[in-house]
Amino acid sequence: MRLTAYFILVYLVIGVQIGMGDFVRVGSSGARPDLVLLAVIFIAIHAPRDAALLGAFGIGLVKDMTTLSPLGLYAIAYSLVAMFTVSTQELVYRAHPVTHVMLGFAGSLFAGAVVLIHGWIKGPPASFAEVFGSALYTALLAPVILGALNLAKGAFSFRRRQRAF
Amino acid sequence: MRLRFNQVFVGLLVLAILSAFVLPADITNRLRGFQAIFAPVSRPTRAVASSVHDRIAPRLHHDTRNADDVKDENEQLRVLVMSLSGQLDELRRVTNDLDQLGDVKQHCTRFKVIGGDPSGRGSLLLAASTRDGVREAQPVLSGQGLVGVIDHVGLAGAQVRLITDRDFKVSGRFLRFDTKSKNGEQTLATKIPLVRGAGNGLLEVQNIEMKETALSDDPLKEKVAVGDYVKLEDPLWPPNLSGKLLGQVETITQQSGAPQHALIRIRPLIDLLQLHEVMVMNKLETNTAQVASEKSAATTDH
Repeated sequence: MRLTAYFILVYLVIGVQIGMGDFVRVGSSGARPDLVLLAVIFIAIHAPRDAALLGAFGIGLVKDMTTLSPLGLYAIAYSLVAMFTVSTQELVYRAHPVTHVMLGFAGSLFAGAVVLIHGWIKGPPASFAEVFGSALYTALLAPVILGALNLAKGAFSFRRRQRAF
Repeated sequence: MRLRFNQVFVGLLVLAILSAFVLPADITNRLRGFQAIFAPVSRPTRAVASSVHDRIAPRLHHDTRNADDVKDENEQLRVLVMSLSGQLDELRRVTNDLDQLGDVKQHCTRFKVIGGDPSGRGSLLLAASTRDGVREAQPVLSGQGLVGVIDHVGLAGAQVRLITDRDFKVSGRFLRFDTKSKNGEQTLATKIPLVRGAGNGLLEVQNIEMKETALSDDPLKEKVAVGDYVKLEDPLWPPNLSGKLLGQVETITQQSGAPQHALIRIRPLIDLLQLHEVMVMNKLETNTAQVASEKSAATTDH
C-alpha cells in the first residue's frame, strides 16, 4: 500500500469529519456518520492483513489526537474493526454495496461497543441511542463513500493476497 | 516475520488500552494539540456544510410574542442597562478591586473555530496554540454566554470542552428576567443547581427537588419553570464570569429513578456546535482574582 495515498486519505477524511460532522446530525439522539470508520473499512478490505491492521491503528490514533476522547480509544476501536474486516476479505465480494452496508453497520457497532465500554468503566457514559443511530447512518452512507473510494483504489497499489492453492 | 508483527501489534494495542483506560488524561494530553493541521480541509468543509444546513434546516425561533411587546421590553431594558452601567462605574471608582475586573472582553482573544469533535463529543477545535497564550482550563465565551473551557492545547491547535459535554459540570443559579425588579432580574432561591452537560447540545440538572419546580403546587416556594434561565455561579471560576448565562430551561420532568427529584433540561441560547468563532479568556491573570478575594477577606476580618 502506498503510504502517500494512505496519509492523504487519513488527512482528508479526518478533516472532512471535523468540518462537517456537526452539521449532518439527525434525530433526537444526534446521530452522525463516521466517515473515518469507512476509510478504515476501505483500507482493511483491500490491503494485506499486516498493512490493514497497522493502517487502522494509525487512523484511530490520529483521530484520537483531535477528540476529547482519551488517546488510544479509537486506535483500539478501529483495530478491532480492521481485524473483523480482514477476516472477511476472502468471504465477501468487496465491491458489492450490500457488503459495504453490512461492514459499515457491523464496524460501527464494534467501534461503538468500545466507546460504550469505556464510558461505562471510566466515564462519561456514552449514549447507546447515539451509537446505534450512528451505525445505521454510517451503513447507509457506506455504499456511496466506499464506492467512491473504490474508484481511487489504484492510487493505493494494494498488493493482491496470494492464494494458497 | 508474521510472529514478530503480531507481537508488535499486540504491544501497540496494550499501549493503547493503557492510555485509554488507565492513564489520566492530563498525561496523554501533552501528546495532543495538532488540530489546526486539519484546518485547510475542515474550515472550507465547515463553511459549505454550515450554509447548506442553514438552507435546509434554518434555526427555529421559539419566541411567539408580537413585535410591539418585544419593542416595549427592549426599550425598558435599554433604560435599565444605562442605569446599571452608571451605578457600576460609580462602584468601580469607589472600590479599587472592581477596577481589576471590568469588561470581560478586554481579557479575551477571539479565535476561529476550525471544526467540531470527529468522535461526536461536545467539543470545538480552535485555530489557537500555546504561542497565543492559550492554556488549559481557560474559560471560553461567546456573546451569548459561556461556551466551555480549554481542555488541551498544543503548538498547533486547541480543543474546547463545551458546557454540553457529558464530562462538564458547574454550579449555577436559576434566574428570571423581570423588568419590574430593581436590577432587572430575579435570582430564584432554590437549592444550588449542579449543572451538567447531557450531550446532544443540552445541559441538565438532577439535584433540584420536585417541590422547587413549577410541577408542584407548593405556593410558598420560589419555583423553577420552563423559560427560566441558568447563570454561572461557581467559586472555582473567575469572579468576573459570575452571572454568565448557561442556557434556558427547556423541560422539567420527574426523574424515573428518583421521583422526589426533577430532571431539568436546559438548552444553551445558541447552538454551540455551530459557532464560527469564540473568545478565550487568556489575558486574565488568575492571581488577580485571588488578590481581590484575599483583600476582601482581610477587610472583613478587621
